[in-house]
Amino acid sequence: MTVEAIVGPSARRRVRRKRRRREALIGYAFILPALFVFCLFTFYPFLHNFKLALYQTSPYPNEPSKFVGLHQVGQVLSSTQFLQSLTSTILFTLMVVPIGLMLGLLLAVVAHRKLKGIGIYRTIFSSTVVTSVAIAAVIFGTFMDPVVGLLPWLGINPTPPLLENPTWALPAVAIVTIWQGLGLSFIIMSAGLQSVPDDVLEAAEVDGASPSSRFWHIIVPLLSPILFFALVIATISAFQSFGQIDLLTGSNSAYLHTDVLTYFIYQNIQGQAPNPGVASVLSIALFLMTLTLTLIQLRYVERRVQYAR
Amino acid sequence: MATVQFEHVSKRFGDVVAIDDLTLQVLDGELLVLLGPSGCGKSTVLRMVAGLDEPDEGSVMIGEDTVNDVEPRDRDVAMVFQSYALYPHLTVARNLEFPLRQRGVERAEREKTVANVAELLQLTQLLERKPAQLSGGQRQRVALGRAIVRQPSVFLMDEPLSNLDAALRAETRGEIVALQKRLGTTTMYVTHDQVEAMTMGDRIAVVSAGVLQQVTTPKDLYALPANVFVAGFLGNPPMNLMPATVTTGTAGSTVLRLAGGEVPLPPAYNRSRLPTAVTAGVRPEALALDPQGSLSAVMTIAEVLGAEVHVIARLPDGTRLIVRQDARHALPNRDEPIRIALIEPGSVLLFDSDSGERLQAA
Repeated sequence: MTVEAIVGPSARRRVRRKRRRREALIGYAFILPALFVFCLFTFYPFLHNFKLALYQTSPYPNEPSKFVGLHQVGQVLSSTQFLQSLTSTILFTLMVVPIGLMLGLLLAVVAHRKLKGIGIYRTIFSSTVVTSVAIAAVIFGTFMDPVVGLLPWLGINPTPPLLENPTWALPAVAIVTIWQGLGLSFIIMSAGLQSVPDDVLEAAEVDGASPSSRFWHIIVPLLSPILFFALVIATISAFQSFGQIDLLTGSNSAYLHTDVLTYFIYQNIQGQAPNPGVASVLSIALFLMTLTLTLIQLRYVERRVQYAR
Repeated sequence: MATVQFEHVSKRFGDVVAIDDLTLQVLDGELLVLLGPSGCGKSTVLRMVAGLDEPDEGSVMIGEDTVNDVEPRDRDVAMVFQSYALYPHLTVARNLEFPLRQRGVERAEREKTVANVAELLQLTQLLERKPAQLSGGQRQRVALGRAIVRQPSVFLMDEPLSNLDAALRAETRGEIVALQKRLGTTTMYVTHDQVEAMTMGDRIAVVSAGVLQQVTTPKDLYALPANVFVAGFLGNPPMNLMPATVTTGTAGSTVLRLAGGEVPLPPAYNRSRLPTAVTAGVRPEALALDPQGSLSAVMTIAEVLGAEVHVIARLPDGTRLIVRQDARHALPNRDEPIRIALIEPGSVLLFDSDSGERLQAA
């Protein structure tokens, strides 16, 4: 006699449903602590930000904020300061992302070769991933110092000095960012290269492909899912850069055109005239821009990605 | 088309000797099969012709040219990999035309050549598919197509059938041979499957532990293996190899004394030129179960394969002996004493007990 015949199908279904409910409850119990922390420190501030954006902070400390609705949003988004900050952010991203990805890929391809002592190079190439922004800023700040730096010693010594020069400050900060991100970019690309089968590259070699042809026609298409992932990550990261800008150009950032959106937000919270309402509008603008850009990348760039399988 | 020649070629990977002092010539237009167990170095031989591995010593020649320092793309060889190594992001058509594109062939000619190759290999309906959308057999044909599309001097095939199921493998074997004969291109074919080697090769080169053991036609390889390795490797079931003593038998004639009895010395051998202790090699089909047989053994197991049966017996010293028998004959029971007769006395081969080399008949 079967089990079904003894207990009946409905009884079995009931038992199964009960077991499933118990398993679900245990699952929720496990994620509850993380969910609580997430709600408290991420979700609530995120939503509260939308509320703050509708209130104008009074210049007098003891006066309460005033509800101004979307008026403040329009005012901030059409201001010269915001447009300059937006331009700096876009320029900074355009400098950092393509160069960083290409350099990372180039180093990964070089380190992928089976050469003696290549492990040392791999370690060196990936070492920047464990270097903090502060250390990177200090190292490059010293390099670029007009008195004791390496660059003046090499004959590169513009007036005013690099980090005080409105033309060169943003590229200088971008170089630090590229250097600091190179380790991660190298690791991601190296991991991607491991997934490119050796025999496919060898087949291309026998089929007559030159090294550059193998790179453009085999490696890049096969790496495109990784490149796409790295592009999204690098863009988000560039949009959120702050530490190196604060440490290298600090309060002069508006004059030096290094006042990217994150720094502009920071100034509206910690600056001489704190304005949380404006900072909230800017935060939301940055969030929406990052989101839009990521969606555009997902929609259009992904079409060109060669997913092999 | 071209010959391929190896002159005292050696290749090491660290402390491992992959190929040791290989001298071999592949004739113009022939299909030479490199046969050996896994890890014996046969793929390394192929990769050295392709230029993917460099020999440490000796020279590799394609035609008249030594190619040791020539880049793979300049060697005019095409290779079919075990994994097929198709370009996963390209369609079948783009895979096929890749070698032509790399050589700057005009678009119109490329399209024409690809269409011809696709038709030859029945790939026309699949041209717009990507490799992931193909079956194993179809991928194998694309890999073959990519190799023949630019009519190279030499084809190199590295176990191209090993990923196919048995039926498809048998079918494709014939197709590759027919294609090779039609194109007449010098081909080196690596396999560990002796059936593939025997059915496809004009000649077979047997490799073991990086050392070339023998190169000859399939028929000669089976009939006259150069040493105990070849004798034991080729044939299914392989040749029976037993320690034997060359001595005078009870009837006064020269015999080979084995653990289970005596068999006459093959007439081709001259006793005076033989050492006393030898290794005797007998193919399973040269033996038969016979109550009057001169060898006594104990039945171990019988493997019934339909038309034939492999009777596995044990000689008194524990040596395994396989007899290939017609399946219609009655079989003894397990552990039952049996007698085995040598039905082809002339087919017994003798090998040197120490070196394992086949002893030359007088």
